[in-house]
Amino acid sequence: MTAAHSPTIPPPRRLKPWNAVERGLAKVGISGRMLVLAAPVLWLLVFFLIPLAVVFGISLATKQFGRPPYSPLLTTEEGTVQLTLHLNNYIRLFTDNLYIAAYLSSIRIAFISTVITLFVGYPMAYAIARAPDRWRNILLMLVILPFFTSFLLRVYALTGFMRGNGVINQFLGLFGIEPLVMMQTDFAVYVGIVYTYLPFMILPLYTTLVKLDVSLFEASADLGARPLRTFLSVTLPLSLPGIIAGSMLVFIPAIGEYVIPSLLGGPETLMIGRVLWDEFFTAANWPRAAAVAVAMLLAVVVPIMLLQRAQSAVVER
Amino acid sequence: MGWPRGRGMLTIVIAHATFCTAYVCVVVQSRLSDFDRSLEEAAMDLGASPVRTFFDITLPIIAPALVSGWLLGFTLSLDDLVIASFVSGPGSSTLPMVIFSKVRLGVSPDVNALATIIIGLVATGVLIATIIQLRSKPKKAKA
Repeated sequence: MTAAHSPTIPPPRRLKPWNAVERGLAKVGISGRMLVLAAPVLWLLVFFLIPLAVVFGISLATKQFGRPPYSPLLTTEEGTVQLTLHLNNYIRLFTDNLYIAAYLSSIRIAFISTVITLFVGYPMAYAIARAPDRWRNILLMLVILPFFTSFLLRVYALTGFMRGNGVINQFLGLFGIEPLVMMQTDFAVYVGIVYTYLPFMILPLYTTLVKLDVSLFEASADLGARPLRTFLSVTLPLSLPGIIAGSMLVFIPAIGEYVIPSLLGGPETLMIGRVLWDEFFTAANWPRAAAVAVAMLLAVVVPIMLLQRAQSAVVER
Repeated sequence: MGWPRGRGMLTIVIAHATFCTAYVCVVVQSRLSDFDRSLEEAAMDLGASPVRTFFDITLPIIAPALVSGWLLGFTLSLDDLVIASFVSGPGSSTLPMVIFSKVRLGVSPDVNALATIIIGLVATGVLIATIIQLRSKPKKAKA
């Protein structure tokens, strides 16, 4: 070993103290990799998984007056520990029409908004992807720019636009058209969701569209396909990953949206985020709110996991 | 357990850090996935310890992703109303909570003034950033 090493190449240098610690830990069966991973794992365990378990636990309690405002799950009575689980919060979710209607209405509003966002966002993403290089970055920045201002203020700005004596109605008034009622309707909620989530649709669509090979369109045109046909049978199928990614990014947060329906929607705009908020803050019914949260989590997470499994199966094939 | 003592700043920070982790993770992971592992292997072959390799090779390469991840987390935390409302206590209201409580009662001129200030600040910042970018580009092309 010493003869083979020429003096110009120094032997591997290692940080000495770390080396000793590493060897010591290795004896106990802890590698450096585990040590590095331990910090995020511990953080998520303490501040994500345990709180989630607590929420699930509260959902199995009943409301009571006092602090905390729910009944304890474990009680000790004459030396025996008793576990009391209440399922009535979950039963109420399925028997009370309010919750079912709120879930269905949330899904409907999120779905319609996603479709509108797709139809508005696709041409914009396409135009940016086909724009000349020096324009492209400026256009992309204009898409991202609204993120730098507060989401809440942007939704608030829409009320000034759509209210009874707002900008749109004043403009219509110039032509003698009766003012339209837009605020506190489902229409305003759709406008709000489409407006605020549009960048989430445009950016994934742009990244797939900009990668498409222009020669494919030329080949399709050379073979006699008209522009519409080229779009439907070449561009659209190739941009499908972007459509799916963008739609997920809009649909999932839109289901649980609270701010937009409460600022723009009317009292009859029913969304599950609003129901949960009112249960927790107004009715102070923590167990019911926790049950709504658990049901919403399951309703959103399970389909996404199934979809991802299906997607990875397609990729493997 | 007596920690943390009541809801407030600390609980908001913990909750925001936890949900921002997911976003930062996605940003950094996309940078790491098209990162050339042979650079790390080369550093180790030249005798650098794993810790040294991380600080000299990996960290500088993923630094842009860390900066954009930090910026993303910063804006998400600054903007968040819902999570802050659940985990904050009396006496610790974030700006979105104050705005929301004023706005839901109707139009309030002081929110309009605040919005004007914020949009003015952001517009100036973006304008300055764009000018700096445009100025630095021709120099790079020459060099």
